[in-house]
Amino acid sequence: MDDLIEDRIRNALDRLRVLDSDKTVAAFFLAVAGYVFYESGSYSDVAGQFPRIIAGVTMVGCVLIIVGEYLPRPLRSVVTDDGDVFGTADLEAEHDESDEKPYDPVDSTVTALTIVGYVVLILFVGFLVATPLFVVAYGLWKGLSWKTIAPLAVGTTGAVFLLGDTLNIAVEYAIMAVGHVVIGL
Amino acid sequence: MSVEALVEGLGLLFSWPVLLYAILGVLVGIVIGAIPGIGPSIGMTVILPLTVVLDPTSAIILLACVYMGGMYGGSISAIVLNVPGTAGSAASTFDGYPMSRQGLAINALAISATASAIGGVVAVVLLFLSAPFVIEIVLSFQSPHLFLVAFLGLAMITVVASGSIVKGLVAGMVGLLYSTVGMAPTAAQTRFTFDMMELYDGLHLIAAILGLFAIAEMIKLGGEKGGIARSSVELEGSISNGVRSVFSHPVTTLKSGVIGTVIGSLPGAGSSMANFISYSEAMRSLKDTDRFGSGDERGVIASEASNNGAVGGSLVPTLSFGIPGSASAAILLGALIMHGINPGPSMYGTNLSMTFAIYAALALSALVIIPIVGLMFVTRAGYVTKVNTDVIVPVVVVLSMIGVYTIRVNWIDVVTVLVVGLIGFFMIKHGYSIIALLLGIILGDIAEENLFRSLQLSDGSWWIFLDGPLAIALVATTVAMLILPVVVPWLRSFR
Repeated sequence: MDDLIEDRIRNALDRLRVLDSDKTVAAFFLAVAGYVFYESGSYSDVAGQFPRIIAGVTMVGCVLIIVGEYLPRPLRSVVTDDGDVFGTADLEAEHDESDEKPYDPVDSTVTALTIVGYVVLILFVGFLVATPLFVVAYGLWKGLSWKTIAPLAVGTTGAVFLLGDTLNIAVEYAIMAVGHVVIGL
Repeated sequence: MSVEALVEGLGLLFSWPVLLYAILGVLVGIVIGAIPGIGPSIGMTVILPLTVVLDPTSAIILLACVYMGGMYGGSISAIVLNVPGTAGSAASTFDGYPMSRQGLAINALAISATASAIGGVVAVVLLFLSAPFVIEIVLSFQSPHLFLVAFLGLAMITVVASGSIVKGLVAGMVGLLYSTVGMAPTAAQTRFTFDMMELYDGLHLIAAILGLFAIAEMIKLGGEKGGIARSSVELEGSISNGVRSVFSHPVTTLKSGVIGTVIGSLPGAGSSMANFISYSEAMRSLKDTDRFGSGDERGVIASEASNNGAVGGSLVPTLSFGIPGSASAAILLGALIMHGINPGPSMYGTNLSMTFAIYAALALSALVIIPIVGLMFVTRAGYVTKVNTDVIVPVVVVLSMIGVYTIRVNWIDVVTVLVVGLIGFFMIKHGYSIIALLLGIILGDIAEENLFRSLQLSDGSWWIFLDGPLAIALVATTVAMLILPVVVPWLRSFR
């Protein structure tokens, strides 16, 4: 079962690899800055001036990153190169090479997905139920033994309960039920 | 006034239970710092929202001591496993790990504890000595200068932090955009709230800190294989020989502490830059450096004295202008803001006693706690490095989510932690500086308020930012900072 899920995630990641670049991050920021630039036009001058200036600068920077490799050499080096002002790049590179750890993007993706699932559960069933479910799901994916998972789930849930109890915060209910404004529900 | 504030600051530190939190902070910091992939930043991030139950002094001193302890703790896994617990201990692997393989792990760990202590003390002495000058300079800054300092900080962080300068600037600007959500500081108008009441107070700084340093790092850590312990570690050697070797190289130790303090005070440079520069300087200036990289004790001294020196140094811009010198200093800044203390000139005015209490806490942890606990801990150090990261990830995630929710009981903060964490993960992966992003978030309100106030003073004229020698110097330094990455490599190519 685990292998099947892993294969599916690996295939999906392979298909999405083309999107996994610094240019995609820049394009995302460009879209956000574009929205801020447009929206800030609807505010008063006092409230809109600062976000408009910052969004403008952000958009210029993002465009430079996106078209970086097509720029003439001197300008390209400003956009893409590391300045290495202190001249420690060689030592840092030596450290980076020796520090390379085996890395699996599938595990990172599953970690991210379980965290997303945890937040969704927090919103709709509350911390007290979501926490043990998240810890157990993550522990099982990572192949931890029940001897490790059980105390971990009890410990984290206990910490959540204690904190909620100390600060008088309702951790046992869904946040969306406790909050007065619900996102479209 | 300074003496009164100093006495008051010492009184704050040595009051109960603040002293207990100082000791606890160093202990927690050492353990957290020793776990590779965690380090003081993540440790402080997770503890930060939990300090909501403490009074401001206890909370700030607890976190400052975690920072100091974590910096020493980072050397443990660097020396024992060749995996630095913090970026600030990276250079310690060059000679520390070879010493371990030669059966001198305990010597190296004792060198690390002693050099860290001396480096930390050097920094605090420099902080106290420079305090009168810093106070005078900081209090002379007015609105236009504070606006310019905010941009100088952003410029410095993008230049000093490794990576492309444009990516650094974009990250900083995105941080500034994050700070514009919610009620405008300059007008009674909300911005970018999508008519959601939860966004009227803006996106919370602590949510961004937790997203960037807890969630993004945990997603990254979740992808790293095999937990931590890869082999059993035998610790051999002598504590006393290690301590003695530090005292037999006083110049290297003191110089490294000073380098750490100075480099640490540059926004964005932090302890990682400090320990590489200090190590390079030791190699450049010392004789018989053939053994550097294969187990020279002077290499460990240079690295370890400088990174603890950087802790003190990073507090200067953090407290004086609200511009953090490092990621951990940014978290400390977040703690100050969370507890209602405005970083900036007030830290050298009305809150001077708090500033001195923080300095004194660093001195205490460097002078007493790290040497005693650090040396006691040396022979047991191997245990901490065996902690499995697969166990750490869910703990950090859960504490981050419940922690941020307790601050203002707003579900938007939980969602913000997640979204910022996911964005932060891709930023780290593709070379965007998350410290620049965080600095932008921190400086957003300061920059906007002071821009507005300055333009009000000048009737809308932007020339106010070139009015007077201080303003001109700040603008010139900012411009110089931005062209430095182009000019320095170009000049270096002529050598």
